[in-house]
Amino acid sequence: MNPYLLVIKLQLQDIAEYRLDFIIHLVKYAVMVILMALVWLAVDAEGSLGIDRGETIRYFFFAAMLYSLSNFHTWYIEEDIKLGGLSKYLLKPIEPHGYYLSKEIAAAVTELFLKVIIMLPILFALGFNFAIPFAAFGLFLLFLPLIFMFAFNLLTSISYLAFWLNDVFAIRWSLMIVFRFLSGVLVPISFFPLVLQDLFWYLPFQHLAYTPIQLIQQNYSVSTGATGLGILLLWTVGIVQARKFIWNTGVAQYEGTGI
Amino acid sequence: MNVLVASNKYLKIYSKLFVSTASTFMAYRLNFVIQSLYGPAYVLVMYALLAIAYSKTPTLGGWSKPEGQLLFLVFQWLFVICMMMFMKGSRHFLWNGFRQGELDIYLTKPAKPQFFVLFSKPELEQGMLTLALTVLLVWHATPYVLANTWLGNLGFVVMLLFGWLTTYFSVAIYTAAGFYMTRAGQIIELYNKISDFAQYPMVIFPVAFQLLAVSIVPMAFFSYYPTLFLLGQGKVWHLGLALTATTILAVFNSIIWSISLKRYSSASS
Repeated sequence: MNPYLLVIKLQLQDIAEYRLDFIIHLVKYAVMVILMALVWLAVDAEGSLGIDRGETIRYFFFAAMLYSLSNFHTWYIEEDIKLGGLSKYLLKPIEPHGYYLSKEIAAAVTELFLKVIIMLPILFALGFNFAIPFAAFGLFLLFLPLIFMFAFNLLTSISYLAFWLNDVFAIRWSLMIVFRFLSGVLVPISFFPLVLQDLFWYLPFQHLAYTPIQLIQQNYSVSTGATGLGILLLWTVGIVQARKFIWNTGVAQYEGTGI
Repeated sequence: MNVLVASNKYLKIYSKLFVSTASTFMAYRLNFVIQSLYGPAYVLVMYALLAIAYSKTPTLGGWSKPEGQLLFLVFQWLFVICMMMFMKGSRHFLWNGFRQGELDIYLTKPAKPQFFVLFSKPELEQGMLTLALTVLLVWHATPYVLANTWLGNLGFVVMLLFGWLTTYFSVAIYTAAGFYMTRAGQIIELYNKISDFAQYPMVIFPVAFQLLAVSIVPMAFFSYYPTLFLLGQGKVWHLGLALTATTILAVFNSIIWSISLKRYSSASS
């Protein structure tokens, strides 16, 4: 069996074994995003958001789903580097980054799958128009692996800084907070001032949640969505190269002695 | 008298834990500086969300922008104090401490294990943030304190104390989950995620959530009710509710820790 497929299988077994832990993890971020939706609905009740209430609710349901693809806690990589656990992967016929990638693919896909099963009927009940043009839906699907790849490579790049720093948890966590904010998971980008919206378009973050949601809600045309996808692709290529550089430099000076 | 002796003993232990943690940080200064980053990052993002909300509406749940900012500051100030004192200990034990048998060391010591579990990891990294939030809170709250009655101000202080106590007891209760689950870390993370919403007026949330906020995740006592007192809108029944909640949580905490420690087998997983 392909070792990476085996890792995915083992990770799925791990999720099944510790299912309560996984369910709480799944509920945790869904609750956060849905409570945030309630805040914006309250804002709309007393002021004006400029978008329909139903659309706001649907937006946050999609945000909760998509967030599964960009929400990683790669603390175990930092532990492996810090405590010398990385050595066991370096000796085996498996590439460490591939090992970590396989683990996260299994977790992210399972989480997304469960959220889709739970949330699609809710979206249907909330009156979401499922008659999405084929091109828009196809483009939306293309976003999914790219969101995962960008977020995973960005966060592992940070975790690989553990080759030099004793503790990178705070850097990764700070980045995650900013990341959540700028991706549109907590607040739709259209609520920001126009100057910032223009700036954010060229950054990768809004294309991790806001752009694909606008596409699926048919607020963005296919050409706008494709441009967003292109920008995200460019950033992903850049971050993959950065991650490779950090990994190669770090592993070259890794001694495997732990702390 | 016994209470005073016990308090003195625990204060001495805590001061030693504090000093030893500070010494560790001095040895790893770069680490300390890096770890000081995420608290301010979190507060800034949370404030940005509030600022965006108030850019779209003059009031939120009937609270004006300055009132909303006051609520935000009360929440952040008390939250960072809880983070500095016991949140890190709880998180550490739920993720690793219990299952790796770390509790064994504390069981042999002449002090309550719960104290060590929750207070053994003071998060000194948030010291600068605590200082900054204290200055901001004093600056922002002073006009309200001056305009308020002395009873209202007293109510504010008492509610802050209840806020701290209810948070401590509820976190301690959730931490006890580590005795029963191999992977229990997500419990405290879920608690924190829900608590984040205590920085908004409770009235904007559905009734079911408001009930949750005075029972399972008692975050309403943390910032909403104290701020009401500062705004001169606190009621005696708010204090009664806080006292009742604190008593129930304290009793439940005592029972659950007593049962959990008895069944603790010391075999790490």
